[in-house]
Amino acid sequence: MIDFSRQFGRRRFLQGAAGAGLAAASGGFAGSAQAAQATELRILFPGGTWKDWVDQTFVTPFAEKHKIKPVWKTGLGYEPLVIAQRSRPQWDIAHLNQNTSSQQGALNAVVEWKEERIPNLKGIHPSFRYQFLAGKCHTPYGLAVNTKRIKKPITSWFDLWDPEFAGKVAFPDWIWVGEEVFHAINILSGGDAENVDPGVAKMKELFQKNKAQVINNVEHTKQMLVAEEVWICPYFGARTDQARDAGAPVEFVMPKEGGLSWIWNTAIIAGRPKESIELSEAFVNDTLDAQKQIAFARLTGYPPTSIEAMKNLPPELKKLEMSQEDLDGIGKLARRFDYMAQFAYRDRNRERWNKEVLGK
Amino acid sequence: MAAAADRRFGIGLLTPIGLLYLFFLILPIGFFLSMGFFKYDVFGLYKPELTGENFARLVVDPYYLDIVALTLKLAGLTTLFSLLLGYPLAFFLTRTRSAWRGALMFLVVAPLTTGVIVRTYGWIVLMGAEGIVNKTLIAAGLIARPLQILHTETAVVIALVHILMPYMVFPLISSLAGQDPNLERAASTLGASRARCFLEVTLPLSRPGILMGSVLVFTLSAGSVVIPQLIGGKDVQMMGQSIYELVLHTLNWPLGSAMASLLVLLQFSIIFVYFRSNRRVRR
Amino acid sequence: MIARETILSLEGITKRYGDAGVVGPVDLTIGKGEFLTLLGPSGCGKTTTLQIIAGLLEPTDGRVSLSGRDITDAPPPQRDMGLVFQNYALFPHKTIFDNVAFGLRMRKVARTEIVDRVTEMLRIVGLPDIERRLPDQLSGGQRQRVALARALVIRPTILLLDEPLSNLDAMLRKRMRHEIRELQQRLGITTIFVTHDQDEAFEMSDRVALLDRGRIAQIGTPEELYDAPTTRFVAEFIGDANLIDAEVVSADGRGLVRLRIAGGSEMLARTSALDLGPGQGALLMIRPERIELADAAAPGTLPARVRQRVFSGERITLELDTSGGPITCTKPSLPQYRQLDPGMQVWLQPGDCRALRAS
Repeated sequence: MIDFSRQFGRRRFLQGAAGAGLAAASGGFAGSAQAAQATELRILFPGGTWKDWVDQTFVTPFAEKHKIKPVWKTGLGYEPLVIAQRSRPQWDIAHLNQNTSSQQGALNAVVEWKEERIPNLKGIHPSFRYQFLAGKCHTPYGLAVNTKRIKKPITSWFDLWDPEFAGKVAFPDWIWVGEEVFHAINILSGGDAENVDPGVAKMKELFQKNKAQVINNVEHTKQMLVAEEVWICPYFGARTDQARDAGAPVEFVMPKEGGLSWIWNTAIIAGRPKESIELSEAFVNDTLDAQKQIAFARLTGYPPTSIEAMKNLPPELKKLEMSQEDLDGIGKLARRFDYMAQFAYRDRNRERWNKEVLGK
Repeated sequence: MAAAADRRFGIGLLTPIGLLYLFFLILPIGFFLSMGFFKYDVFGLYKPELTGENFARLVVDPYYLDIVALTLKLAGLTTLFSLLLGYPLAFFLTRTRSAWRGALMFLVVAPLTTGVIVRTYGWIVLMGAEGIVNKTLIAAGLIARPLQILHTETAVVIALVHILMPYMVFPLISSLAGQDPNLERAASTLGASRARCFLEVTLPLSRPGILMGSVLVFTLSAGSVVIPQLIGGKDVQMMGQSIYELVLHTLNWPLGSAMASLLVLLQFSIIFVYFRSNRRVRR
Repeated sequence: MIARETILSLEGITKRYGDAGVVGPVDLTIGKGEFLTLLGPSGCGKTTTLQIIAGLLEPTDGRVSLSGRDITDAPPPQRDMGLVFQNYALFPHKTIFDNVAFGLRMRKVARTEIVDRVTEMLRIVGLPDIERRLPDQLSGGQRQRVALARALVIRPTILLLDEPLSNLDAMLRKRMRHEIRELQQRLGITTIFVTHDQDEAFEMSDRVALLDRGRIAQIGTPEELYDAPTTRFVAEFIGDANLIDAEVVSADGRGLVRLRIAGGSEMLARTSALDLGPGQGALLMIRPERIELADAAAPGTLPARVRQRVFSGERITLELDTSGGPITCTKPSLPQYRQLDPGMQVWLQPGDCRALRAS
């Protein structure tokens, strides 16, 4: 028989993490034959309005200042491309979040961010700093609640388990953000990255007793909220506002256990020529600049991550300001995540999710 | 001399498409197949050590077997219903001179022109617990509590039949429109009623269209990802979703490749059956 | 001509195609055992008429009766007619046996009888031992015979043939003409044949109906059509004809008229237009092979000058200029005609002249 329950020693993925740092340090040698002088910044990006905003705020001004040419490749699903090109990377930076950047870091595919090389990192709130990425903005994540149907106060992630909402609760799909939210529930239920039994048991209850539905993406969730097929589900704060604008009677709640937040930025791909890595580091340093972040927040409606930017938000953006309590709340759960271990056990967790949580 | 020149010319004509197939079909599939025989590795994604464990896992583990079985079942049902609904439609479209022809043609193609987002929202509004169908049935007093329509296999088949209908109807139209109208006339002068004309002449001669449409609908529905995911919810797991999950999210490439190889194998065997039976018709 | 019992009659059959045109009214009767050809250029309405007879097209107006029974509204399966299509319309997915057996199966004939009758019919059309093959494994001529067998095996009241020979090469076409005529005679089956080829029509038919723009221009035996055309269209479509403008000098009211052509020459001609009277315009028709040549003037002769001589082996064609206009004359390829060179003077003595109404 095949051993499905392969266990990974703690030491094992710590080695993986160390290896990533090593790869970053040796990045200059790996590809030094390719170019003596970086003339291009090669960017992997999903696309859409998000790309226009990033281009307008960060990329174009950077390109003009450094007299280089930005080269974009847009479209989803480039994470495997970065992995596949590890021996001969063709791209400098890739748009990732804390989870995907940690995965790529575990695979030695992206470079660790260090304060001595990226000075603006010092000014970023600790809730939004990770080993391989720091956010240029963040997307607070909690519960979207239909206040027309639900009259009792909602305060906790565990309100999803309230039998009154049976059939009307939803949980994000594993491959969307479900994996991360699952780990949050697991941690809150007493588990950790290596022991997901409490989370699996809890989630099984949500799906089987409380008949949870699966929401697959931002748009799908919005549709389910507008059609009132779903009354309460984990969702992004800004997206909850958009669903309300689209006619859903919903409010956003930051759970008392702490919310979640996805931080987004361009991770630096390892193994590129030294000059390219330096250029990429200079670029991400710009994305952490307070003034630029304020300009970006004005375009996107997402709050900045720089402490100085948060303090100096202009009056029209005051609504994006978060209290110290909220910021700590966001960090509270996120800081307990062990992204490396979560990554190491990803295949086992996926299978347990599909078989035990979703299975009939 | 001339034959050799002809052959060279022929090879010249086929070179671009041959290269296209080589680089975008044969090599990726070969890559997939070989990856399926490698060992899964947490950080390296795969280890170049040959193993049969990925394929064994698919065949031994009832969880994966169920996914394969459900994929075949839903693809089969989708093909069957597309044919049963598409044939009369194609028949009507080839025979009618009515002004409705254009409008109907448009309705057949329409699903392809709307985005998946808009279409899915339509299904939610129609089939959801708070949806039009349930509200109507409750208002009519036929049911007391909403029926579970969305997030069932039935809903997935309905949505797949809807979106894949053009792939069934157009091959049927081309095989029906290509028939010599004199054949039916001949049959009727020889004493065949309209029903017999259809069963003896029209239907057997549209077999290439039936086969082609069925192969297209079967392979496309077996490989579909978005519709089972959005319409089927958590209880409908098809191979396309699993492959997507394994390759792009979980990054278990060996298992994802094994599953993809299995899917391609299933699709190729259907196409193979198609060519076999089609050759028999021609001979 | 033998008097025949009428089997099929068309009365005032008309088919309107919107603004695109109209076929008919056509009136026609066919006798039992008769071979009738609908002849005409493309677009004259001959296939339309045949399809109305077969029941594949509904007439806008008129009546079709079969043995006295009105079948205007009867669908094809109730008409008991065997139809052979121009492209044969063999069922490509059925074997030759199944093709021929099709009509018998539809008539629920017993299996053993089907085998006997199909085998017999394939033998009659000269194609034994091909029952197991598919249509596209046969040559054009073989397919033609299978189509014939398939139509005949049901023992139809009437056999309908829609240009069945036009897809065959010239040699085969000639042979098939005789085979079909011989088969028709042997089986004594009433046959309606559609063609645009005058030779086919004449060699095979008892009677020919020549159609022009949706109507029957003239119907009769091949000899009647050739010898006594009633209109310019018939005269020109059937064979070659010299047509010369003329004026009626006198008429006896019983079909004999005297005509004068430009230059003053006068000629006697027969006519079916009994109302032609002195002073009226008319057309003088002379068949090219009915002209005698003389080397001196005589009463009733017409002076002419040779413009061209064309030698084609068995025949010599002379192009002549006369006061009435150019005239063509054909002669056997004999020495006395071979020496007629351009520019030479001859005298024409036309025989069997016909007078047609000027059109």
